[in-house]
Amino acid sequence: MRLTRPALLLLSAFLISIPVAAQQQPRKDPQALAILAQCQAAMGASAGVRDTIAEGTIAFEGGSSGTITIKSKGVAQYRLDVTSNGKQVTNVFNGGTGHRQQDGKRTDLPVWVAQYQRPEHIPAFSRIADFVLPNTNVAYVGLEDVGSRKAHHIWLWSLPTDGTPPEVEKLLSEFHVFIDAESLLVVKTQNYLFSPEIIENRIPVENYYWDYRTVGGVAVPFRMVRVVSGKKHSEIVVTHVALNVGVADSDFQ
Amino acid sequence: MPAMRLFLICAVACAVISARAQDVIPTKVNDQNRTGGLPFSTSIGTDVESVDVAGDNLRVHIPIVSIPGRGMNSGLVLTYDGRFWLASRYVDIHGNYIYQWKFESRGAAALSSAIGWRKNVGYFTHGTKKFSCLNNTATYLTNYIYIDPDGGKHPLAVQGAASSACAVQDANGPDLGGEGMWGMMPAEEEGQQPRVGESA
Repeated sequence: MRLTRPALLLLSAFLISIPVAAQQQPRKDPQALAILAQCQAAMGASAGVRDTIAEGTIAFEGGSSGTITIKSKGVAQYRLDVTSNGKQVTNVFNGGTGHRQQDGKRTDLPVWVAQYQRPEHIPAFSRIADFVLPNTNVAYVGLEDVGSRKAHHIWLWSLPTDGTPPEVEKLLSEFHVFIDAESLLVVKTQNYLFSPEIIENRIPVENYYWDYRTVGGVAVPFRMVRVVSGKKHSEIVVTHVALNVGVADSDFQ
Repeated sequence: MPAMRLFLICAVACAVISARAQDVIPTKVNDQNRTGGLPFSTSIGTDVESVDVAGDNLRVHIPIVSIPGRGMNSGLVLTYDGRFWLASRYVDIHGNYIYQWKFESRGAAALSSAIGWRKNVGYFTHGTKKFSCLNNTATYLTNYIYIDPDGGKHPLAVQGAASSACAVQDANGPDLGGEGMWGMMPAEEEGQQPRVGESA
C-alpha cells in the first residue's frame, strides 16, 4: 500500500505528460508579449510600410569596405547587394528559401540558412514580427546590460509546422532580442550563422543598432554593427532610406 | 568555505559547458581532422608518445587502468591527439563565407576540462539536414562517422530520416574508407545511434 500511492502518482504524471508533449503548445510569456507589443508600437511596425530600400556603406573588420543596398518587401522578402573590392555578392531570401549570386553564378542556399532569415536593417520588420505567429515561443529572459543601457532580453523560437523534429526547429529558429528598457527600441538582436553542411554547426551573430531616426513613422537605425562569435565583423552606416517606393517582386526571384 | 568551493566548481563546469556548446561536429574526414593511428603510415616515438611522420600529429597515450577479461581486456586509456581544431565555414548573408577555427566535438570520449584529450571510448557523430521535398520538408540524419576507441574516424554510408516526408532507405551501408566495416541504423525504438560490424 505504501508503494501503491507513489506508483499511481507516477503513472498519472506519465499519462498526463503524453498528451502535453504531443500537443506542443507554444510558450507565450505575458510579460514578454507585452514588451514586444510596446516595442513594435515604438518602432512604428504598424505604419503601413509595404517595402523598403536602404543604401549605405559597409566596413569589414579586415580592412575592406564597400557599399550595401538592402531591399525588403513585407517580412518574408529580403535582398542584400554588397559591393566590395569591385566584386558584388547578392543574397536573396523569399518566403523561407534563398539563393546567392556571385560572379554571375547562382547558388541556392540550404533551407536551414534561409528559413528564418528576415530583414535585419529595420528591426520592426525582423524576426521580432514573428512573435504574433501561433507557433512562435516567446520567453522573457531578464533585464540585462547592453553597453551602458538596461535592456529586456526576450527569446523567440518556433515550433515546427511540418514534420521537422522540434529540437531541430529550435536550433534553426532561435532568436534573441534586447529592447531598451526606457525607449523600447531594439538595441541588439542575436541569431545564428549556419554551416552549409549541417544544421548543428552554427555560430552566434549579434547585431547592435544605433542612431535611430524616424523615417515615414518607422524607427530606422542608421548605424549597425555585426559581431560574429564575439568579434566585430562589420559595420554598416546607412546613408539613405526610402519606404513604399514600389520594390518589384522580381528583385526577390 | 565549502560554499565557495562549490561555487567555483559550478563556475568552471558552466564555463566548460558553454565552451563545448560551440564545438563543431565533423562532417567528413580529411587531413585536418584525421585522428587516430594513420593506416600505412610510420610514426616515431614510443608506446606513450608518438608523432606521425606523414602529418606531424602528436599523440600521447597514458594507460590508467587495465582489467584482464575473457578474450578481450578492458581498461581506461587517456589519449592526447593534436588534431582537435577544425576550420569550419558559415554562410554570411552580407558577403562571403566566414571561416573559423573551432574545437572538434569529441562526443562520449571527450574529457570536458582537457582540450585535445580523450578517453578510449568509441562513439558516433552525425548532423542534420533539411530539404524541401514534394511540397513538404524532409529532415535527414546524415554524415555519420564512427570514431573508434583509438580515435580513428570511419565515415559510414548510412542515413536516417527524422521526419516522415521523403524518408530515405539508407539504413545500412559500408564505411566510406573501404575498411570492411558495415554500418546499421537501428530500429526507431532502439534509439538513433547506428552500430558497426564487419562487412560480409
